[in-house]
Amino acid sequence: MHPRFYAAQTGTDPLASPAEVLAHFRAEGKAAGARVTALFQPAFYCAAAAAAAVPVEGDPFEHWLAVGVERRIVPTPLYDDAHYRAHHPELRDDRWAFVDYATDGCYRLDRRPTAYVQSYGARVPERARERQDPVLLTGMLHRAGEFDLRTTSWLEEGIAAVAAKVERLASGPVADLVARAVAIEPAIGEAPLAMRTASWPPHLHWDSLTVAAAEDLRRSLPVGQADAVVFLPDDGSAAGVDLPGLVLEVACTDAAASAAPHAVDLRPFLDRLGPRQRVQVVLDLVRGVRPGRVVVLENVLGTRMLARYGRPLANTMTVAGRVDGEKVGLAGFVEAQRRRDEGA
Amino acid sequence: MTDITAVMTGHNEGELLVTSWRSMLAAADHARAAGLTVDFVVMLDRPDDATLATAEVVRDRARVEVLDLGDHGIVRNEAIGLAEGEYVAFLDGDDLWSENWLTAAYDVCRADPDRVVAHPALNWFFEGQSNLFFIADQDDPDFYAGAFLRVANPWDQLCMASRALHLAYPYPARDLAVGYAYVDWSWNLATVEAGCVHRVVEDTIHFKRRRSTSQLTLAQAASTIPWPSALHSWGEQPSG
Repeated sequence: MHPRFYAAQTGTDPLASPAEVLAHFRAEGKAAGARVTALFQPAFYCAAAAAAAVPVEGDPFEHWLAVGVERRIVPTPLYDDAHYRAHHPELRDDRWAFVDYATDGCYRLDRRPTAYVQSYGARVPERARERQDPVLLTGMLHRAGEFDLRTTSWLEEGIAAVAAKVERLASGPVADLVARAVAIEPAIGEAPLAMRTASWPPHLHWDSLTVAAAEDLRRSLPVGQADAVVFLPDDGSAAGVDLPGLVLEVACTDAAASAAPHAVDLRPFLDRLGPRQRVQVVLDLVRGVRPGRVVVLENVLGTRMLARYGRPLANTMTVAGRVDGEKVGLAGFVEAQRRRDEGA
Repeated sequence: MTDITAVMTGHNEGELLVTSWRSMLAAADHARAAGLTVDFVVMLDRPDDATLATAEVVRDRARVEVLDLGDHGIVRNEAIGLAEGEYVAFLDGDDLWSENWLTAAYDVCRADPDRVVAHPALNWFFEGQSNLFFIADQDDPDFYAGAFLRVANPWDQLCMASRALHLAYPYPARDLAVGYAYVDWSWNLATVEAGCVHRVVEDTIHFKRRRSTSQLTLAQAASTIPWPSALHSWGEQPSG
């Protein structure tokens, strides 16, 4: 039961409880063909059942609950039983590993359900288990408006496309090319095809959602260029700086949200991204609006970005700000981040 | 004029150079069978003794140059200056091509020699990594190459393009002191900005040996970014 995924199909409250979602599904969603769980794809299940010589009669989801679960038929391309078990040998042998994934693994970044990139560098949503909000929803709901989520999604389509590419490597002329290369360098063939991870930008690539967030931010920005970018204090305290020209104010927290004419609230764009991806987005922002000056004031994300990329940025803009009450330049951001990393 | 100059670059690959050389010869044989002419240039930048010694086995077939540059982008520029082929293809001295690479990439490049940069359809990593990286075609409607290039690099330097294109857009120097590296990423930005098109060549593969001292690893460790490009500028791109 995945309320946010269900809500994207039906317009219900994405924060609804699983019980509320189930009630709505029984009353309306089922008849409309909505999927109540992200881990069930009707067409995939029917094909998998047919491959297992299990005829599907009636509603595929009900059939899976009644028959497919007992027969251990995987109902989604988002999960590969052999891959999951091979990468998580600590799982009990007597239990269907898919149950582990559905109840635990799908809320963790260290679980790899298939050979294909799925998390896109996303972070685990807050209270993910409680809200039944699996990590892979970030990929499934990407460009959601372009898909009929009742049947498929960006992530499922991406996996199908990459799986087809990998399958082409297993036979025919491409397999012959691989064999010829292996004859020259045997190490090429050491890892079996089935155990290789695969990616393909943008369909399955760890930077795809970072790119999408950066592009969404760019398109929403009121200006294409700024004289200065100011990262506002995370605690909402006054910036206390008066800079000439067009100043783009950047807020990263609830408290810092600003009503200034050229202010941007980054939270909607960064919400689902992990720390590295967030830095990439704000780096793109700072390079993108080409300011002469970047000022970071008691701002965690801005500090992290300048500590890592301040040196090349300083070739084209001045870099300054405040950390822990002290005025700092580039070296100060690097030192502050070093202290934070050590503390973490 | 020679159709293709196949360039191999080396540094500290030692005997692995022979493996890559055999792959290069196989690809050249495939191209010759298709009626193309191929010659070879081997560029050794600050080679260690083992690599220098190993390179002796190719001297009867290839022009071998020993350099002291310490910058793989500049090494490639030097190679392009020496190349006699109408098209130039690069191979790292520890990697391999699928044997159809030169032939198939040549066909793709010839369609628009002044604009097309050809890439394999797949980077097949081995030794240390076992992932498959399918490469994006710039015109894939889902790809949004301009936006993707701002944040990440989809193409490496093991490409084929016309010598004229390479001469028009030389690789930038790496400058770790000021924080600009990612020579391949910078070159991709520059070529896309100039209107070149990065094409994937179907059913071709580069087999890439992943070593911890790769240029990418060095660039990441140094917290560098690619050289500035107009593609980075948010104000110069289409609005929503």
